[in-house]
Amino acid sequence: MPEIRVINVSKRYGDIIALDNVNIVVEDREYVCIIGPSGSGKTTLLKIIAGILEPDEGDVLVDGESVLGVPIEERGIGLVMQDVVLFPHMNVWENIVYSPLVKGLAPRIINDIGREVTDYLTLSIDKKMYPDEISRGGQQKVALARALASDPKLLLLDEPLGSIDAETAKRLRFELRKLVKDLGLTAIHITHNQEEALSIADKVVVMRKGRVEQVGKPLELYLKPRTPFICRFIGGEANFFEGHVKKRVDGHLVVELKGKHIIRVPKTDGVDGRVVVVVRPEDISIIENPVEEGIEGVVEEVSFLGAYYRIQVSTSEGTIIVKKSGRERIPSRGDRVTILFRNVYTYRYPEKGLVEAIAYE
Amino acid sequence: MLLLFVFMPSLYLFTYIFSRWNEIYVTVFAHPIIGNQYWTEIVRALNLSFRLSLTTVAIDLVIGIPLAYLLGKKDFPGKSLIEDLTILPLVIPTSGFGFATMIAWTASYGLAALLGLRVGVDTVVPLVNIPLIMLIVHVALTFPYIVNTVVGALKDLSASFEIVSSSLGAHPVTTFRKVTFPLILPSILSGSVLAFARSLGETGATMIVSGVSTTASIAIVRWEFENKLAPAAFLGAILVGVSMILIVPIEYALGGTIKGRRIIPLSVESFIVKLEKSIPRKMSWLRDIVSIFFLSIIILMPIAVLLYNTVIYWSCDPYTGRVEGGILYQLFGPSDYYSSIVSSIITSLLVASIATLISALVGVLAVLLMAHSRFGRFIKVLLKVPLVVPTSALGLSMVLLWGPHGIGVVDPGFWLIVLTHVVFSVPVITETGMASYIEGNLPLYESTARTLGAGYYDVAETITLPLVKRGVLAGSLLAFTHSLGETGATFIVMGEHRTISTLVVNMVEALAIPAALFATLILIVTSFVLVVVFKEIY
Repeated sequence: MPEIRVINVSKRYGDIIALDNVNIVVEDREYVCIIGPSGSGKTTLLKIIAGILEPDEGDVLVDGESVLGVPIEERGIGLVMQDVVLFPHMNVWENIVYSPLVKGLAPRIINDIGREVTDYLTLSIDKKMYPDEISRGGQQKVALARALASDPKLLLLDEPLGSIDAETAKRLRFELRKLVKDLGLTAIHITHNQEEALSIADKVVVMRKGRVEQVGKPLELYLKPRTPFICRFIGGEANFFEGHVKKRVDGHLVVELKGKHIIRVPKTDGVDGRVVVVVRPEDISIIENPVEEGIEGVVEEVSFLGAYYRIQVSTSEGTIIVKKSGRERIPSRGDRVTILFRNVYTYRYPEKGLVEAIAYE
Repeated sequence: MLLLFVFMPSLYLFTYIFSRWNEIYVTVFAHPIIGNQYWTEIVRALNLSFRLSLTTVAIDLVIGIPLAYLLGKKDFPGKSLIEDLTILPLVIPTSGFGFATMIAWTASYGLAALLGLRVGVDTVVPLVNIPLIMLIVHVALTFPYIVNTVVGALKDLSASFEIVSSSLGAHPVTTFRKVTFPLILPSILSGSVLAFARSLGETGATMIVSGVSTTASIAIVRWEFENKLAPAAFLGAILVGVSMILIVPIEYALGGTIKGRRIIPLSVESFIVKLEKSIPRKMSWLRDIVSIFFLSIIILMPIAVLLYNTVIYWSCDPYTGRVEGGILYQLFGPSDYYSSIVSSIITSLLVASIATLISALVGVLAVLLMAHSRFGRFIKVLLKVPLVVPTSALGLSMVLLWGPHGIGVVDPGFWLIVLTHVVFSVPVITETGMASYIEGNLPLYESTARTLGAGYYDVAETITLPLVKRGVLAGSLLAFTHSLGETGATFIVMGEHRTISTLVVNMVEALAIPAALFATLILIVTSFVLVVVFKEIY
């Protein structure tokens, strides 16, 4: 079973840099999700690992050996893609046993493999049906069965649940993880859905503009985002403030925000001078009376989003978004309130400006 | 308009046959003097034509599919030149090309001579018993139909199918056999039918290289000249009928995937797969080289030889040194081919311009009709018919319909040539027009315009027409080129007038080879330029 190492891989299309010096390690039997906005290079990376594309620079090692130049059919990968790609001229059964067939296995073994895979996936679809006669979710399950029938060492999943309705996709994502774990496979799963990635991955790779922005366990990415972009991309909306460090008080930095409010933030290595302060909406309290370090404002809009309220407060630091559970006391539009940060992330001000630093593309 | 200008002429032969069945029956089957001599000749001609067309299509497939694979899947320097070379036979004046091929193979320095073979127009291919040069010409003129449709299909086919097949462990050859080939099979069939029909009806080049052999379409031309209308019409109707029987069902049925059932037992399949696995991957360059090699031999070489000959024959016959055998003497000497070339070029240009203009008009209306009428699909299939009707049969049909034997409105001559060219130009234009209609996703824009309150005519004027303009323009150019080069039908309907491509046939028949060289070169250069312009537009 393989361990995959992507080493210093770069890929250019003319002037466009699709991948810029990417390094990733996927351990044996690990379920890795690669997420990032569209155009971040995640699909290019997958294609390079699969052998569909060759990198301009760098290397891909499987169990310590370079696989560059090894044709796709000899890489032992199972590939499942968003647009399903079942062969339309073959029925379900022929699709599933395609791999053992084209590998030249004996007829008896071909049938055995087909039966084994369909039993394992409890595939209840009529095997004589053609792909255009079954549902999208069913098609994707057949595609998965077909990939498994090739006895892959490595499962490469490119937005496998992207074109399936949300309800089915949610169910399938856990089946996918269970299957990978049960069979002891290694999986690399690409998605733009951060919830999907966080809920099933052992390790998440966040990509942006052809670079790896951060690699870590799901919770780690949420609790310790390394850049303002990760704050924005993992966990949904975030509030961004510009400011500068006034002074250092044992263990804390005193930061003056743009709108002249002074807040204290935990000391962070390498942070001084101009800074960016990021606060998640769920890390903010709303209180009725003014307090020290609080920011006063007027409630601009309150919307109920099912699981929580999203409250927009207009302040001299700009509009601040706050999330509150429905069971708490919710202010109404026009109320004067004070906002208090419970947890903040502080970063050195990015060279090319804040807007660039958190932009998707 | 469509009915009057396009469908009626293509199908009139049937009417003619039915209305004069007794007369035709007597002439063909029970002639008082020669008995069923005509019928015997018809059978002989059809026999040769079918053998020729079937062999042609078989060779087309062998050459065409690898070439299509190369053009549809790969990028390489010189690709656009190869693409031009595969469009060229579609627009090249066939008589000129036939002439070029003939001298390229039979001349004492031609390819055959270099290989130590003696090839003449009477050289016969063993087994199928077909004149070799005729076969070469037919392959050269018809393989683009296979290449074009297959390239189109390959480009439309998502690359993912092949990638997935490889990821499942299939050798590239296995992938082609099990996945790519079945998925492009409908296009291969449709291309084959077009190629077959085109070969069946090819007249211009065949006339030049035929020697003593007579194909069905040549028999029609000959009989028409000898005023033996009954057997000509009968044979013509057979050809039209065969082409239609082939094209209509296939075109109508196509569009879906062919869902196959396993024919080969699993054990045999495993054996084939193992065999395929033993083919080295690196062999693919061989396939590419071979297909390019074929292309150069059947297309490039004749043109090169033609060019070479034009140069050496310019001032005098290179072998005898006689000035009378040179191009200059023939053009400006007593036979004065110069003035006939000039006048026939003017005729050709006028015919092509007028015919294209009328066809563009009819074509645009037809596109609107096809897009919005319930019978759109049916009309679309019917419009394939003029594309596959043998040209000499079409010419005959035109004479019988419009000429003194039929309605009696238009005598053979300039205007009948124009009318004839309209018949096959309209489908060419509607084809590209419809292609841009579908590719441009026009129904979406049209319905959007409707929701914004535009009426039917507003939509046509502001949305449909501007967006299919390019397609119609490109199709018009193609039709124009086609019209310049058309030989078979023109030969029958031209009366006293000459177009440049028919003039070439006359010159070859009059053994005015140097003048023919010059005229052919002009034709080929012109069509090559038009091909390049066409690609710019489309």
